[in-house]
Amino acid sequence: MKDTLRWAVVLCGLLWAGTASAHHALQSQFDTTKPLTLKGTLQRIEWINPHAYFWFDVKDDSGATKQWGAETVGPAALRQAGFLRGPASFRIGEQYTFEGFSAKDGGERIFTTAISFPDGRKVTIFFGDAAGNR
Amino acid sequence: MKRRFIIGSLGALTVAISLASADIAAQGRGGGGGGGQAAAAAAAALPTPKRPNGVLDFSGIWVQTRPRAEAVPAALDKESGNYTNILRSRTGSPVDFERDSGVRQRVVPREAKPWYKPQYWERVQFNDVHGHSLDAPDPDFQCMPAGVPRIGMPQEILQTDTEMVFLYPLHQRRIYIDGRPHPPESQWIGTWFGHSVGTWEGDTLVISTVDFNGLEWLGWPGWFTSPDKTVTERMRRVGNTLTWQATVEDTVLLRPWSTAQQMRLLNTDPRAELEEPLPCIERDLGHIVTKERG
Repeated sequence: MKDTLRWAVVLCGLLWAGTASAHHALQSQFDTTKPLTLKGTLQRIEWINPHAYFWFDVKDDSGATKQWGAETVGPAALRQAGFLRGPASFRIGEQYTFEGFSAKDGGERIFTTAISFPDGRKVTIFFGDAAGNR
Repeated sequence: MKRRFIIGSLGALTVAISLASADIAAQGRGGGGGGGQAAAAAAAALPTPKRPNGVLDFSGIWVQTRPRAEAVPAALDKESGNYTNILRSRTGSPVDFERDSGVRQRVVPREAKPWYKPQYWERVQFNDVHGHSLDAPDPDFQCMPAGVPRIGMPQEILQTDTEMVFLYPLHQRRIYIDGRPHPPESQWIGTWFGHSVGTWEGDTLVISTVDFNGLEWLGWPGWFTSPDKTVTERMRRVGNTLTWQATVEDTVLLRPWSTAQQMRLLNTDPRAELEEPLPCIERDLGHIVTKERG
């Protein structure tokens, strides 16, 4: 077991990996100045182009559940980030934390820049803010 | 004990990503595994294979592939376990990264652009601005087929005596090479890739395609088409090189428009495998707030 293995996966920007179809500018849909962090139970993974989606249920204080969608880079870029087995890198039903940008239309969508796994591992798949700060 | 993978070595990371390397399909520039012109010349010097019936054989995989064993993320530092991805952009900001890519899509030499009739100029501009909205969606943005010639050269070609099958990541085209004609216009049905027949002019395959649905674009900057579009492609195999160029005629254009010529090298790995293509599903159109095409 490699305790010393430190995985800092940093993918900056959106890759037109594999196909540019349906790819759109990040800032047309998400506000890069409004960060957001959500924790929820992973329900569904869509390993598709141009953007992969993680659908998860978030419980609020009253116990009510809302479905959120975490959009991220495409599968080819995710593979470059180290998810070699694709969706098999994740487990449905487990708790994941998603950090990213809020949706401009106020909907339950987040553009994910970091995912924290149930075992505590954190993978950053996006890095930098709108001003280019790291 | 929880394993904690800390992003502690961020300072040591150079954050950037090499864009073009991720796209296996974008092999337009020489297409080989490196070596550029020398590799192309060597490939062209090889004999050009023919099928038993004497016809030139275009079969093969015409993109570079990588064995699965080599699918280690390129940016992985095996000693430290860190990833270093280099982003090539002016400022390192993801917003500029997107905007720059949008600019690159539009920067085409004047002579290389399709020339639309004046009555269509406003529509082209409207398409360009609104191509990522419900008002004038670029079909490619909606994960619709790219059509011909936007889809470009195939990843793989299979050939029989009657047809060539052009295989693309999510689509295929059939080019009938048995001398049959196009169906008469009264039997046209309008499709994304049309009806294609190929005839030989010496060692060049001339592909004529008609019967389009008029929904596809020629390119990103709003270059729409009509069902009157006809496309003539010229494909030539010399040794292990394959060149391709398409010319488009359409009633919306002032004059015929040609793509740049592209060339690919044959993938000579006997164990080469093309990856299963993933579906393209558009989920963002209803959520786009700012009209920015990056």
